[in-house]
Amino acid sequence: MENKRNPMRKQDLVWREVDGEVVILTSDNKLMHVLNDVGSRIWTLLDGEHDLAAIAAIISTEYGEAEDTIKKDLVEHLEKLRQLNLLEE
Amino acid sequence: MDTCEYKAKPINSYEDFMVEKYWKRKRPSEIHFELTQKCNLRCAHCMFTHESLDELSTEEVFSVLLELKKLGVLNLSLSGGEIFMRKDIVRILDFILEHRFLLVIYTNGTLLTPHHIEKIAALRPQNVDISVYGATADVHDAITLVEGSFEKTIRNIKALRESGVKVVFKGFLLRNNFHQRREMVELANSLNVLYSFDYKMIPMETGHLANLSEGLTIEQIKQIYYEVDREGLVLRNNVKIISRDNQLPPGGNVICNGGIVNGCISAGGDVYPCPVLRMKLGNIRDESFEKIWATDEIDPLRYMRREDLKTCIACSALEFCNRCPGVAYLETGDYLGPAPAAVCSIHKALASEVERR
Ligand code: SF4
Repeated sequence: MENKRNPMRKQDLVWREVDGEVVILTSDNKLMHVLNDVGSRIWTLLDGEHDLAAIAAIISTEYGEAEDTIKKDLVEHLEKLRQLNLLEE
Repeated sequence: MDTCEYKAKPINSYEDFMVEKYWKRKRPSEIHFELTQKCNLRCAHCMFTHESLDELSTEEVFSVLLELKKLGVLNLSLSGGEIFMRKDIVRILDFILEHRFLLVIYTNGTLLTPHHIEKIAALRPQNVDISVYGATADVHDAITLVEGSFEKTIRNIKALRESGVKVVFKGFLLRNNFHQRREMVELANSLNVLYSFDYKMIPMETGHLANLSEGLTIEQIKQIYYEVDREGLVLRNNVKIISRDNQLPPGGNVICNGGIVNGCISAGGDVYPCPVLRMKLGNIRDESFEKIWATDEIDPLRYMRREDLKTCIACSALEFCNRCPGVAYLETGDYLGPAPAAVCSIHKALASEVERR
């Protein structure tokens, strides 16, 4: 069943966008994750306001890739972020 | 194109990232923000005069915090004076909760209310550092010059711990509490908190040296050094910070991060390279922090090389010395030089003692 809630980054994380790259400190502050430019752009869209389709559409426009391909990648990417405990449940 | 490629690296990549994104670009990652100079205690060794000055307003504090966040600052230390003297401290803590920094809070712990403690717990700071000057009320209060301060500090350390806040018991060793150093360790252990001890005296921000006479005597420091080896007493400043290399590598064993990735904002908005090196670079009421930080005025500090420390590299005490550019600046006005009263007298004596043994 599809999750009705839009994907959203965890609210208690310290993160910064530095020269287009996002750096995230995990909530126990023991790990630092660095996202590449596309990963960083996606991260900024994980504000709870955008659903998967909206994020895919934006990335598709900005990076010139087919929306379907992006959607598939996006699902995997979000799963990885979830496993790293960086997304709200 | 790999749309979602990303790298998740453990903290050991922190250094690379800091070098690339912060160190090489002179971008601050860590700011020590002195929210006030006011303090309810009157510790004789303190570097501040506690003269009331035109403190930044709540709105000014918010605006600089937003700028720091935008610039990429990750670590924020809140310090004073005593930050809980500020009437708007809860609003400031709420603002930080919204904007998230990796936070350290420095406080004497005496003014904390249950409401403050609740707010601090919600912020999940990296740690709250609380200064302690003795293992008993008579010794501690004789240093803070405020009766009852020990009892309040210890009570609030316990309350913070009960709320799950990580507390660091910051023991400061002075000639009048030296005899209680072991009891202070026991006290920290009984409170179930981390502890660190310091003895390094910093001249007053005005450059006056009167407060140095409160510091440990040379004999006491010699004893401490042997105890560090034998008993593992944790001192914050028992590390050598002089690089062995001629060319200091970015992010490597640099002499000092002050002015490169570490900076300080005073209660009145002055920007300094670090809390000790009080060389005013500008004021955030006149210009943006970013513009002030872009100055090349402190490049000799940022790119300090070993051979720039002309007096120190020729000094036989170098191996034992924890020279600090800020202390040298406060004492003599030259951050590349020695600090005869605050540093050299101690370390030269230590060096000759070690040689003698
Ligand atoms: S003792 Fe003085 S001169 Fe010698 S290294 Fe330390 S600060 Fe420099």
